[in-house]
Amino acid sequence: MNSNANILLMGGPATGKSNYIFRLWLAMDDGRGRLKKDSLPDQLDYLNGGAQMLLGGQFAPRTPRDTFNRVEIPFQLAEIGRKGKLIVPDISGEDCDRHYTERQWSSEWEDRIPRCEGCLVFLRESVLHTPLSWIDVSQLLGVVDEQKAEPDKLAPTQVLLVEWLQFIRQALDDTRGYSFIPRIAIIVAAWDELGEEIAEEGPDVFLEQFTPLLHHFIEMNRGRFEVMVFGTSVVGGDLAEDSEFRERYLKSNPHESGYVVYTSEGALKQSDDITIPVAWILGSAID
Amino acid sequence: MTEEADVPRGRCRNPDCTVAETGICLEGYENYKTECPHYEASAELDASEAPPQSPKGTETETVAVQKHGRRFWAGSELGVEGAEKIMRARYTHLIGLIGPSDVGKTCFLIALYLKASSSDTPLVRYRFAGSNSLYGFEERARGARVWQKGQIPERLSERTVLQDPRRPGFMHLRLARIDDSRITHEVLLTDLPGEWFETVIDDAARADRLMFLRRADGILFFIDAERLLDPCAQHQEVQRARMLLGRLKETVKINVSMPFVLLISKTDSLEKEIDENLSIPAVDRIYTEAQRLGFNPSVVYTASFSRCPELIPSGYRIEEAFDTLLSARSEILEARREQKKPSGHLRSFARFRGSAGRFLGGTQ
Repeated sequence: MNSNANILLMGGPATGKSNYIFRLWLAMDDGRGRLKKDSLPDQLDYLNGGAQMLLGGQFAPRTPRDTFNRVEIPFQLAEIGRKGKLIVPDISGEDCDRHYTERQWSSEWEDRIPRCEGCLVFLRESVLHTPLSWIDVSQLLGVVDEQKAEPDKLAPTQVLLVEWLQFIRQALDDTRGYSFIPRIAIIVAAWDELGEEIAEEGPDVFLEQFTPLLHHFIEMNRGRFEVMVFGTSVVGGDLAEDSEFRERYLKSNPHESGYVVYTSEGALKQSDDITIPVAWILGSAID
Repeated sequence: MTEEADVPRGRCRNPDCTVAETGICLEGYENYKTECPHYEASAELDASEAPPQSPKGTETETVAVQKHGRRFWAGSELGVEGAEKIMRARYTHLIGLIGPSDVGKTCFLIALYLKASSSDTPLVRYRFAGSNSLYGFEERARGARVWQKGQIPERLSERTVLQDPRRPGFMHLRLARIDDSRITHEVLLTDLPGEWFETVIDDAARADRLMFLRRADGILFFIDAERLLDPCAQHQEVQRARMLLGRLKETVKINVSMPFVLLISKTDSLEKEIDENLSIPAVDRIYTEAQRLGFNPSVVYTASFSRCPELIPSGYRIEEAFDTLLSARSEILEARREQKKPSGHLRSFARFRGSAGRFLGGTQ
């Protein structure tokens, strides 16, 4: 089978989308994971620029607003005998907020829906906008004190992502039909940033605890989306804040850094194959 | 699984009719197989043969979407059009929230949303499965979507757009039961200004915009505990509740046998723990009046946002009030199914609109 594979990327600002793409490219180029490059992409400047930053011990900066960096990588997925071109537009995290507040998306976004196979949806604990608590709302409504608190303008991450998944489903229903079930890989990025206690529970439990609305929505819509939750660490530590880690990283082989965690058959598993989430969207089975 | 999963299948030429999925005729015919002019009797389908629901955009719509991008539902609240779209697709529980201004209707909506979206005090029997008014719930929770003082709209909204201020309409929740049934409920909760109910007490002619409540599956009738405990306000509050109950029965003519909850809001004003035998004399008087009129009310004491959370938690018995209606309605539907009797009249919301716009306030 030789075909293009379009994957949508979604997630708020600073959730690690670009760095995952650059690390994915390094892994596909290295060829030790499930998903391998089949040949060099025609346009390599964007991928190469990001990969150079990672190899030099730096994370890539945030993608500017209104950016659509088109990433196209010829791939092979031997496990299912599939070859083609992986197409993932790297986008700005502000897009997610805008879709929610403006209740629409652009023709560039719409253009990707009819060919989309699945989505990579990113969130990250350190930039998670948490749900309103009872106390927050009591203050906002002036129930407890006469003086009302000033509302925070940003909606919780879980609300943005649920709405975005509802939008995607609506657009897919209209363009692909009700029976098309997309694969959605939810990526809890920077898994290495999490405390040991949370990390031990795994990404599914993380989702349940930190984004219950999103967790319930996914669980109750299993027939509408096929969902896997992954934790990823693109290099295994913090290149920006942890100088000791950065030193170790630069002395090691960066192609071997990073990992993916996920739950399969009730057990938490860890793999150094960072390509697993994308390979799964393209049809690979989970061990 | 949805509530209508085991309903007999059929085919209708009207693309908006869901008789194939629900066994409920959009035109309201109980014997739709023989009476409905749109029903194709020879085309009985198995569920697996049901026509695909989409792609459903017309060619013109598709081209426009490709050219200009896609616009989604406003999300702030649903107008009549948005509500009917949901009701046509699946059996939908329409719940009327009734009561004067400041009685706690909006706080109830927010508390229900918080329970559905938080891990602190989650819903016990249901899980969130979707909403077409998620944006509106979030805005209300932030205190950012309030009625414009002195500018209360006169009619139900036909449709809503993002720029609109708060409009009378519906909030939507799709909730799945946690039990083995995994039944998914589509729920529409009315979001109407309290002034509408204050006005209809004084003037029966203003009942026109409430007529759609005849189609409701259940009523939450709000009573303010704080006022009932205030010696200066309690008699006024009882009288107002009695008058409004009377209007609902005599003027709006809602079906008195529909599931009906007297929802006592702001119970935290008691400032003590609530025991099962709690009885407030003024509530008893309202209850007696409701019974006299033929209603069969349940009484649920609630607190959406507690000012004494150490005694009464926020969200206190919000789910029970809601579940009382949903469970009662589901039992009625189940009983009808066992009798193999399609509940055609339940779609009469659509019929009200099609045949008599006044039932929806003449907004067409």
